[in-house]
Amino acid sequence: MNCRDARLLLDDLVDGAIGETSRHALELHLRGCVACRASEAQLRNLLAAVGALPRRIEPARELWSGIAARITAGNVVTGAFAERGRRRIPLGAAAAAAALLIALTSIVTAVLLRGGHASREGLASDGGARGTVAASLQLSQARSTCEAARRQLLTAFEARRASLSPATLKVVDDNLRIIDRAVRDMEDALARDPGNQELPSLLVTAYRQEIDMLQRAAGIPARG
Amino acid sequence: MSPEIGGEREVVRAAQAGDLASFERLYRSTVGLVHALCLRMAGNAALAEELTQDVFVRAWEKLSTFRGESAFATWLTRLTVNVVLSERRERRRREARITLADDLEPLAGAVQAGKPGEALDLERAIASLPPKARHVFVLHDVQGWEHAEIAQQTGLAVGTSKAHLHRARRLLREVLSS
Amino acid sequence: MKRIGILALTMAVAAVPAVAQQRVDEKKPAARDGAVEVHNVAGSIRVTGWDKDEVAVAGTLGKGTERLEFSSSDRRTVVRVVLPHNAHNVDGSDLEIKVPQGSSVEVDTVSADITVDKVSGETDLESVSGEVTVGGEPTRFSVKTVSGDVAITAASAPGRAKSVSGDIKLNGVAGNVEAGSVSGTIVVKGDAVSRVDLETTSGDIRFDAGLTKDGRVEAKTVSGTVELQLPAATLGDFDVTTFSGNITNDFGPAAKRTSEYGPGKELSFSTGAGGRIIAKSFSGSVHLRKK
Repeated sequence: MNCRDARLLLDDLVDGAIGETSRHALELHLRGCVACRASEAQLRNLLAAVGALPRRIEPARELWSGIAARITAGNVVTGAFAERGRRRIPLGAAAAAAALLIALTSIVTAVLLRGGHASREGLASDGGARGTVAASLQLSQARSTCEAARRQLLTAFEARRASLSPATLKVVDDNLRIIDRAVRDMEDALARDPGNQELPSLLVTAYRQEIDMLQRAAGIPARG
Repeated sequence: MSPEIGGEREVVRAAQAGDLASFERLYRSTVGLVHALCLRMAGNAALAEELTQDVFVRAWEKLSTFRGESAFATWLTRLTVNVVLSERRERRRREARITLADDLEPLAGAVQAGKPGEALDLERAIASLPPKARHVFVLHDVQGWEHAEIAQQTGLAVGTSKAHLHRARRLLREVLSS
Repeated sequence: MKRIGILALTMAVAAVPAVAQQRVDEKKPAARDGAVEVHNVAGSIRVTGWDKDEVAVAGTLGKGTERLEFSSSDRRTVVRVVLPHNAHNVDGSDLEIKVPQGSSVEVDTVSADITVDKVSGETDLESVSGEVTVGGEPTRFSVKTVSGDVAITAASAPGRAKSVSGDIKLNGVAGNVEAGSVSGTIVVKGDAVSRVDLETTSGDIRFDAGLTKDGRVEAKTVSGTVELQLPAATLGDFDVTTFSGNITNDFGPAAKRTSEYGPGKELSFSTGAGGRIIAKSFSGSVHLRKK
């Protein structure tokens, strides 16, 4: 065994995850190699020092009030929707934005709907590979169209907030939160399990629901 | 079942039923663990504080999924890793360059035991590791996770996880022995 | 119920007609299979088909209403409750509208409850918080609400119903039907359906019907619970997947884990050549039950 191989095996040795044959060969090498013995010692010292690190480190400032505020306000969304400050938008601009986004979102919805249908067919017969590729392509398409449309839609929706009834506002807010959370959970899961074949289609569905809902919300007439 | 765990179960149940005061008690007893993990995984104190808040808010949302099959802190730790890694994915583009000197000052107050100088150097050294290597190192050597668990949480292959650990340990040994 | 327009008859009638509640009773001739469009922000709207070639509007305009627009041109009749531009205290209007039974009907409201019955044209209804009830046999139905509940009892009509949080109940389903909600519950009942597509984010889904020979039911949800109740003798290919939910199955095989290392369960089996039963969830549980 040479030093390079030995250094690679040292990790397994100190982790107790080394096989019998390798251990034998490694110990033999260590007996005759000062440099590698030194490496082993360093490694063990490092792990001992790590073991002595404090398990708890209190944050420098008090964080609870921020947490409690977010929990009680129910304000627990990430992404674009998290920017909930009242933006002052001149009325004319809001109307123009609304008109533009209705046009935009019908295109977006059409793209996503078409994608939705395709995924249904794709998964129907061959049930596997083709469906997966189609589904992943749709997913990246859905994500990017959703990002673009979502920002515009949210702007228009924010502009209309004041003219909607509190009950409706709450329904839209609550459900946007539900979708955002669902999307986040699924994207996390997909990131950890990138080969998953079902998640892309569920995600496309969720993105589509979000666009649909934002479009609906932006179009609700006053007093709605 | 130790009295401590039994007591914890009651507090968790109360929090699951919506009692914010109980959740605050859970927060008080676990924030040090969560924050330490966030700090070491993120290598940046300001980000660690934000992440800590995100973790507890998320824990509140997901509290009903905790079924007592492990200690609350264990469940919370997994959730913390989850939050840290997803946050990292979301922020990757917007993340500003971290300047070591600025961000590690707060670590000076973190030392609680052992030789002060050594512990601080080690924390600094861990924070200076490249991100993936740092994540794997913290999860394996600080938190005690197996490579299989790390692989599942990070999306890396087991072999890649081992390679990152090897690299992290090598870099740390070099930093500490110089 | 959101009947804002109920006012005591002893209400003083103000000098300005628009302020007081007004009764309405008008009719116009209409094509036997034309279109009827109704706009009423609040109150209630009931549209019923009859065998006359005319549209009749009866009811009460709420206090503060500006006027009722009732016009027809070509083959389209419009009934619109017109409200003053900036009024805040306007009561809803209750409208009873009779239309030729072959008409197609479009209704648009915010909070009025909508009921449509005995109409055989296309039915297109939109509300925000008003509840929507549809009977009869429209050629197609399309219902959208935000928080209003939806109840459709329309034998064999194809169509779609969408809500954000409103519950959706579809009864007597036979045709090609789609229902979607974010957090509302979807319940579908029928005899033998040809194609049903249901999707929610967190709402539960309940399907209680049989399938035609090549019928297909697909239910997708993120975190809702899916219950598919089918006749015991159902023949078809079953495909169920979930990321972190549970799967129970009355029809035989148990679900298997998708992979040794990751989460996920799947269940794929066949009871014979026939329909397709598909259910996908992220964290919601899926239950296949025998009737």
